[in-house]
Amino acid sequence: MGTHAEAHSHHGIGLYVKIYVALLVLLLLTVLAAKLHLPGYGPILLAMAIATVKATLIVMYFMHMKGAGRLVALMFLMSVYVLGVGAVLLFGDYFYR
Amino acid sequence: MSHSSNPALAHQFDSIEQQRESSVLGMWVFLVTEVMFFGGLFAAYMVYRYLYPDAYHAGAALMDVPLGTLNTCVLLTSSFTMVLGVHYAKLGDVKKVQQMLWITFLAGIGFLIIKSFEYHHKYEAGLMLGKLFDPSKWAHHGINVPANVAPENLHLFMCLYFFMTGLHAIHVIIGMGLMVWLVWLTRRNRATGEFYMPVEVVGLYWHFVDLVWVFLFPLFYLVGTI
Repeated sequence: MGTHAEAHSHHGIGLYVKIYVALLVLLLLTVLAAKLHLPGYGPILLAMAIATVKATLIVMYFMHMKGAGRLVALMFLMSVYVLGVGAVLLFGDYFYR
Repeated sequence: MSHSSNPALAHQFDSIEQQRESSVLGMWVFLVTEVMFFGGLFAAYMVYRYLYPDAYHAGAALMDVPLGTLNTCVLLTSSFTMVLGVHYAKLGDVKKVQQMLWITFLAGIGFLIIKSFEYHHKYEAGLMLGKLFDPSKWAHHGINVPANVAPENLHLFMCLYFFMTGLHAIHVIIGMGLMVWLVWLTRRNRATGEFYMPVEVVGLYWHFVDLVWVFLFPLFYLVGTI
């Protein structure tokens, strides 16, 4: 039983190391991407895309959303959804006044 | 009931598993309120950026990218040590949990020290808020603000910067307090094995603080153009 638990834990740590390295690589990417000086909305769209990937990795693996059950996932997505609705209403107001 | 003999199980729950799910769900409810809390500030940031792109550009140019990058590294590392702490707490390895919690705590201190260097520089350069916002000091510190940028609009940028990073820093400080509390719990054997839930829940909080920084960092330090 001890060996089984150890093998299992080892696998877990390996996954965390991979996620950690991926996060550092994405950090490097986002810093380098800022130096590209893309035109128009390019920089912010690219930076937000990378930040969203980082956030997804953190939520899924560090915060154990994967395997936390549907209720937790639904609630978290609801907050993102409400935030999105708020943003759309807010910018609908500012863009078209 | 038979399960009442288990000291790790509060009497209102049927099983450890149900208790665990309730704790995690409860923490996520709190984190949802935090998403809305920071969401309001991010909305203010977006509106500001839309209204004053030139002032935003001038403000973003004043950020210290190397220190910001270093701080992101520190926070990501602390998230990694935190998740290891949760992992060892589940396995019941008290010593390793304590090590991971202390490393996470130290990373929090490191983050705040680096942040204070940045804040101090802004203070010296006359970029703090209110009366400490002093355009006459700028030239002396090599700060060039384009003539078409109204100082009050740049002041607004610094308001957003200090408010959002400051609120984030307060969250880091609270998180560090929680680390100390967890270490105290582990010494009483109340945060490992079947009792590991406090570590898991504080872990969720710490990762959320990291999550906020993942968005703050590019928005303030990296994305300079419109």
